[in-house]
Amino acid sequence: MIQMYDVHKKYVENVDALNGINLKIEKGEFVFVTGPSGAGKTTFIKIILGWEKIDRGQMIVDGINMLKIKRSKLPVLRRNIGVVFQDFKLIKSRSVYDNIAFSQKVIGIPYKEIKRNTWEILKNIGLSNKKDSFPLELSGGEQQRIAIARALINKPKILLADEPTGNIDQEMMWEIMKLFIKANINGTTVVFATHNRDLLKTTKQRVIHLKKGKIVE
Amino acid sequence: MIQLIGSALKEALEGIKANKEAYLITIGTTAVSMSILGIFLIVYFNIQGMVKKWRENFQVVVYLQDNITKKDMEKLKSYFSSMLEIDEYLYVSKDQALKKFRKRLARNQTILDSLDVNPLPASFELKFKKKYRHFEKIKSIAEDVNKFKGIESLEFGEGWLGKIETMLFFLKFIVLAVGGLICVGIILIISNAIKLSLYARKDEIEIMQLVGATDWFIKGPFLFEGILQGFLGAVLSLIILYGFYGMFIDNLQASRFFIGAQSFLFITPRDVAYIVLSGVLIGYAGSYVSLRKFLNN
Repeated sequence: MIQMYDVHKKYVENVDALNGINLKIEKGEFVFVTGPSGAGKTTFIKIILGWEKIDRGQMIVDGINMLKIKRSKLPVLRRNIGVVFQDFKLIKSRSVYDNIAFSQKVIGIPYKEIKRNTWEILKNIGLSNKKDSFPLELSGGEQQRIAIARALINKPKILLADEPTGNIDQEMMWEIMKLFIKANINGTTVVFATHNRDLLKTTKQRVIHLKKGKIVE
Repeated sequence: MIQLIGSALKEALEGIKANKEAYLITIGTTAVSMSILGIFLIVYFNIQGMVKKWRENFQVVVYLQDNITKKDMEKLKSYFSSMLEIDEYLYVSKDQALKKFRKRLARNQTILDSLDVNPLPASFELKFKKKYRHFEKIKSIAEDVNKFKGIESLEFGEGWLGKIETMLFFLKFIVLAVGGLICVGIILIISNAIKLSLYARKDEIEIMQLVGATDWFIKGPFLFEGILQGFLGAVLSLIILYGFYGMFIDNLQASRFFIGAQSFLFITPRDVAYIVLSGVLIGYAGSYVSLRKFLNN
């Protein structure tokens, strides 16, 4: 699903965000990406999403060559990728329902279907009673569940997460993890960036360690 | 598609609602700027209309010497009859000329009564066929006529017609230059308003891009906002112009300074449509400029 060959990325001269990354993530895999702050985890997520361009190397995501992808084709790629951030990135001026419905509206799904899908996913994450609330009226855990629902609503092939448990308490962390595992069981490839050791201790999934932009064993 | 357009319109209206004051200022500024352009257009079209009317009534007056021979007179008449360009010619005798003059100066009869002799010459008034009523053609005919014997002088408004045509040319240039500058100004004003709106919704746009919205999906509501501002600005400018036009005509009629006040026209319905269309296009251009810069960053 994701292949990287000698991938390099720099934001400033002499500081490598990613330095010669080689890896393969298979379809349906659940992969953790870990490392200290500044190791390149966020850049790793961003290049898969096409949010940042790589400087050197080769990279294929869902069969698309990321070095040659045109700007106009990026939305097509992103419709197959769900993404969750530490800071949730919800639209504060819109209700819970609208935040989830929004990503379906963007890709032209008919209103009736949007209503049905949104209602269904709200029930699945246990927040159907909060559909008219606004993000700032919810707890961190609830906001993150909404962000995950938004990322999953269009049934993406890949689900990217950048420190999704960073802003929530321990108890809620496991609730959030359950949603990712469920998505993975349903066939979604999950790339989960975190530096939460508790989470990594309990997992049997592959863990990619990054340090100063390089993969370390 | 309809769902997308409907959604873009709804988003645009929400954007306007959220930034009401900024939008009202932009619409007001657009309206005032377009009104200034409108005033120039009204003046230009009215002068153009007057020149057109003058051209339609255009005639050459050939003044004859008092001692012109019958033979020379006949030669002139047969020349006028043979000329394809001349629609009709009218002989005005010395007596008829004086009669006309008396009629025109009816209030100052006493001046005329003191005249012992008739000082006015006899003349021919030449009217031209429509397609030959342009300055260059008439000038060349006048030069030919002037070569005949027994002619005192010719009058065909050579001086003022040339001056008016030059003035019209400069006015057209001024209208285009002022119009161009005003259009650029309005584009920048609308572009700035859209830029503010874009920055206010920066996070929302980022999320749209994350979830796979195309550039056109993101641009749609902002383009509608710009178009709506341009459209409303243009409509408001027409209302302002019509108000000023009405006041101007009333004042002209009241002062009796300008007898032809009723003939001073407002812009034609076709030009009204052009102004509204220009407003829409300017609004589109204004938002497009900001969007292109913003999304490329």
